[in-house]
Amino acid sequence: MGTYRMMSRTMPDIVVCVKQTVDVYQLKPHPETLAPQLSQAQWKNSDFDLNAVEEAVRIKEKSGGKVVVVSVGPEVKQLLVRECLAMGADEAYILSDPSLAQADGAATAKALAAVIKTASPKWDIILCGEASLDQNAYQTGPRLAEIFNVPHVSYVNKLEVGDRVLKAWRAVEDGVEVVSCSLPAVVTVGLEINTPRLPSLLMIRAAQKKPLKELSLNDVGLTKDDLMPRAETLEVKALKTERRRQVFEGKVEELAEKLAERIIAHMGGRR
Amino acid sequence: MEPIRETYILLPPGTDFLMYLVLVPFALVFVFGVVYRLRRLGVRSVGELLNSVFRGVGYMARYGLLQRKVVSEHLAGVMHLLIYTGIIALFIGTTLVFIDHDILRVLGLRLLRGDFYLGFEFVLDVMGVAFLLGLALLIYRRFIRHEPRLRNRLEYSMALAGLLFIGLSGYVLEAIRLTVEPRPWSGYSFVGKAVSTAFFVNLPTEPLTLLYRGIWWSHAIVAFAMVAVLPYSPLGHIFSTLLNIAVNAPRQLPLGKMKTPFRIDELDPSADIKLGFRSLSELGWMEKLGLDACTDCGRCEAACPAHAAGTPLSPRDIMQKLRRQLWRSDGLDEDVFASGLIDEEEVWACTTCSACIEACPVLIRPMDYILEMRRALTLEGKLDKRKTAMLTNLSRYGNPYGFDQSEKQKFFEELAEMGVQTLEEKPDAEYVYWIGCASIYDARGREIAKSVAKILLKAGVSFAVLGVEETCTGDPARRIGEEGRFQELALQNIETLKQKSVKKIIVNCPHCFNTLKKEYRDFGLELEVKHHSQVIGELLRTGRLKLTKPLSEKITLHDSCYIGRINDVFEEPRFVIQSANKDGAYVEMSRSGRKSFCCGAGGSTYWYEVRRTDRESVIRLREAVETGASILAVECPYCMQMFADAARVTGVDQSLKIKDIAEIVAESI
Ligand code: SF4
Ligand code: SF4
Repeated sequence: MGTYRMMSRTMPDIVVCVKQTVDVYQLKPHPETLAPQLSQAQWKNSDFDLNAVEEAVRIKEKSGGKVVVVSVGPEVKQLLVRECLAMGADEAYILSDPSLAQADGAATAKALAAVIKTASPKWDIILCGEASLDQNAYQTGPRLAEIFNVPHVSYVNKLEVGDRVLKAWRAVEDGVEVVSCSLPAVVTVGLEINTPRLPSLLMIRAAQKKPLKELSLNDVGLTKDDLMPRAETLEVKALKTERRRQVFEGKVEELAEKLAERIIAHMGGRR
Repeated sequence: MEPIRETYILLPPGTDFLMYLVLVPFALVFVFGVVYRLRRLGVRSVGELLNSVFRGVGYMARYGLLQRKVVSEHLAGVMHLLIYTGIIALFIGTTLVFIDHDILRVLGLRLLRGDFYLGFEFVLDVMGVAFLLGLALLIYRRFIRHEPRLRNRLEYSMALAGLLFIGLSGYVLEAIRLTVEPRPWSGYSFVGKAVSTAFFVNLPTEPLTLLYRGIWWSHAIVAFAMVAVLPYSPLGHIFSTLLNIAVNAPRQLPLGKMKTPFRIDELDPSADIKLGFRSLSELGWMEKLGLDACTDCGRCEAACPAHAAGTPLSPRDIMQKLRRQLWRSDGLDEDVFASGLIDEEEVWACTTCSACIEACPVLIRPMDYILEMRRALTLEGKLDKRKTAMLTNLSRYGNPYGFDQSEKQKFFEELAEMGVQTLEEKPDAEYVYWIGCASIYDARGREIAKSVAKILLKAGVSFAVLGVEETCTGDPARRIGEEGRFQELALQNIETLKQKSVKKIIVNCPHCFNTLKKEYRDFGLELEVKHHSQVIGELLRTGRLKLTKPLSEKITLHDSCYIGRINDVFEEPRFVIQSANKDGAYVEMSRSGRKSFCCGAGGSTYWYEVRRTDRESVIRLREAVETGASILAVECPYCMQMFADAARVTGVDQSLKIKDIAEIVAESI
């Protein structure tokens, strides 16, 4: 990594985009239709986005600056946004509109960009989770960079911010790639970058003192038409999995052999 | 000639005056030290101090003056009693001499005369011997036997030398006096007389008198000096421990109850949030006094399971480190974690077993300090993955495992098949059987719950379960320091229980027991909570439960912390086991009852890992194996899991079965 030295003279303003999703681990498909039963599901902040918030707060703890949380969606829950504030973010902006229910990456990015332009036009870094817990589309971050016409670094699992530059360690297929770029920039982070702190309940309550503002489409200069998804989701279904319920009998050695055969057969015969 | 005390004999006239002159600076140093020490602790006024002391005189008499807990360790106890009663007796003796010589004599009266004087001389000689014997024991423990928990420091050796000198020189003085000025009643001072016969008779009077004067002054000056440095030295513990007992004992919560620092439902959201402490300046003077009173005796460390398991934690080190911090110039304001004084792992390693509290001879509670530091850490939320996951699970799913509702439902369906009804189906049930997460979600724990259910059904106890409405009591959240999430769960449970007018509860989990019984009180719910061992015991005593298939095993019992030491249930589990095991034998482990050793799961440590070289569970299991028992009986589902794992790791799972007492009873029905 050489003698690259980070100077931290800037106090970066960081915007973190946080999506609220249903808790997919709790999601139960309807026994017949296999459609996920959204009405029973619990909502939470998407895991990757919490990593983004944590990273932003850590940068702030080191270099100063400000952390602004932005969340858009059909029905953004204030309590969950407050959790991000309790983690150490300074202010939050929410855009709730039913038209975002079907939003794809493009529409979401458009909405986020509009909020950012209105609420925090002078930013240095936008941090996002590399994907969302529910859709896993890996779209929002790159599209935001596109809209703002700034560099974009994805799959980051280590980040250093210096004077108008950042240096990022990217997890790529066959190793780690270290890149640097000038600010402003958009960065998407993965789960490995940190362990998000868990704000205590007391902290979450205390975060009520921090500014949290609800914006409307009108406030940010958007119309419903701007948010029409480019792709249409026809149906969402759970994969039906079933155990094979095979029972092997015999001595331990034989059993092991039989089991191994099965596994090999299942993997397509490759040993 | 009537026997009478001849003070300042062999000394030139005016010595008494000179002595008082010499005493003055020492006295000033002493007073300054006491004031400095109290100021440093943050005592604001003498009135406040006296007020607190006054409320605790009873405790001070029992645990301070009579040393009720010090003597629980025999050799140490005898040693302390000898030294301490010796010092007190000699001090009273000197005071009497002062009254006699400097007050009464001036008024033309005398106290130390006749038979009273003879008795006085005799008793003082006896007490002097006791004092020296105590010092000999001290030397034996520290320098010959080298008791591992005792640390040797220069200050300790100097204090010892000073005390030895005072004791021995006292006898030498007496001996010379009796040699130079023999009296018919000198036999009452039997030690002095003996020393005189052995060393001084037939020696010329002149040099003896000179020697006497030299020793007299050095005796006096060493004694003054020792008193003067008391407030600055380890022996100062004589005062700070007494003070600590008086001040802190009356306000201590019962074991198992944590301080409730706020109520989340009454909290003003704009108020400053503060929980626990990260620097000593956040402690009140009473808490600081507790630190100051720690004598570094090491009894807490010797009892601490986390220390035995090679984690970074030693309750004594925590107390001593904080105590030293108290006296460092900028120590009060320094963050104990940021400065590196305390390692976070020390704080996380505590299983809240309360053994340190039980062990401390001077009623200090190291665990309370540890848990308050934990609260401060958790408040900030920078926890590792496992702790974060457990707390997230609690908020999201109402159980620390992170299982969803359907798992719970499944188990209650199994119970329903056995004939267990929910409170909804049986609203007039006398008891609610509160099962607890460890027995709802864990496969092994479920067996315990089924055995309890089987017993209750068999005995015809009127009971019901809450079913899916049962959630975690919040215990793991409270012990990990997340007071807010604990209260959230507690308030929700209390509402459920109140709504259903639940008054009596049966549990098989000691942690549920403690929380429901002791912690929920602070939130307005008084419940009659019974551990299953108590319920089964009662059923057996009243004959409502008959055991027809007596076992013939060799059984030993592991007392869980939260049923045993913390909640004083010792007899019932033993009675139950013995009733079921009529044809077998019952054996105790080397540490049992109040002195039992934690399995390593308490205080929510079950849910995360701590740096360590050994495991509490493995250490304890070895003790069980040593008894030669065929069954290790437990009374807690977490103990069960810990020992089951330990047995697998150490390979004794074939020879030693681990069973809950409910399972043992269920087998013999
Ligand atoms: S409560 Fe138990 S584990 Fe914690 S410090 Fe005291 S003895 Fe050690
Ligand atoms: S806390 Fe109590 S038991 Fe522990 S070292 Fe101090 S005085 Fe001894």
